[in-house]
Amino acid sequence: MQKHFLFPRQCKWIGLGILSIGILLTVFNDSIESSKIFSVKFQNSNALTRYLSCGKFSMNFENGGTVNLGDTSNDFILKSDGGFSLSTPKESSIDFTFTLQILLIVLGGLFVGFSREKNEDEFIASIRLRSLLLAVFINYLLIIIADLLVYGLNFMVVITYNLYTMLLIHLVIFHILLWKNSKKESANEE
Amino acid sequence: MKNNIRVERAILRLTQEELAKRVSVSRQTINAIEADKYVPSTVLALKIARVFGKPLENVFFLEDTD
Repeated sequence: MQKHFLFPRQCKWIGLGILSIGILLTVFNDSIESSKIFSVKFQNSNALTRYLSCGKFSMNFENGGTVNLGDTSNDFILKSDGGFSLSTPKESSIDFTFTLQILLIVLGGLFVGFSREKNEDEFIASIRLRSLLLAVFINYLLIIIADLLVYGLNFMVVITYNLYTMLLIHLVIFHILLWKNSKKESANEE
Repeated sequence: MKNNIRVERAILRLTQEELAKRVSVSRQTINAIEADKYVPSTVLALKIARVFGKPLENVFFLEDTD
């Protein structure tokens, strides 16, 4: 029979750990104003550090208005006319917290959602597919709602969270379905 | 699609668990098939019919809505 690729069973528990750390980090990071948990300072900034701090740009959009990146005196500054200005930084600080958040949540989510179950068979595969389909529908419904209700720079936050909402919705639905089926099973036992 | 796995199982005195083991799926799967919640793949249907020693049509039946 056709076999689809899934991560080995042990990955599920590893993934659960990684995912929890990622979510905790996100909650912790969001609750602290301008926190820099994993920020790295660079002296003599070069093309690479400029590129990295440019990547941070989208993250700080939520502050709205004037967006200042890295440590004060350097990097990009969003002018009131909407243009960018670039100054050559002597020292720049790059925050990798966001990079780490995405990495942990996506990797953990993939491991939890797509590892072999204890009794992996075609029924569980069908549950997984059903839950993925539902997750796609719910995710895009949420995007449509957000698209109509959220405007301006706040929409960047929606897009950011959307990097992993589909994965997380799938995880929740998949495990609810698995749990419901094992419950029904014990009820029907003869 | 309907099936009479429960009846056939009773004739052979097999539990869901034992049947599941013989066709190498989980007990959940057998339970879902018996409850008409899940339509098995052709491969699994053939395996189940083989355990009962009967042709497929004697274990699984099409309904009018199928």
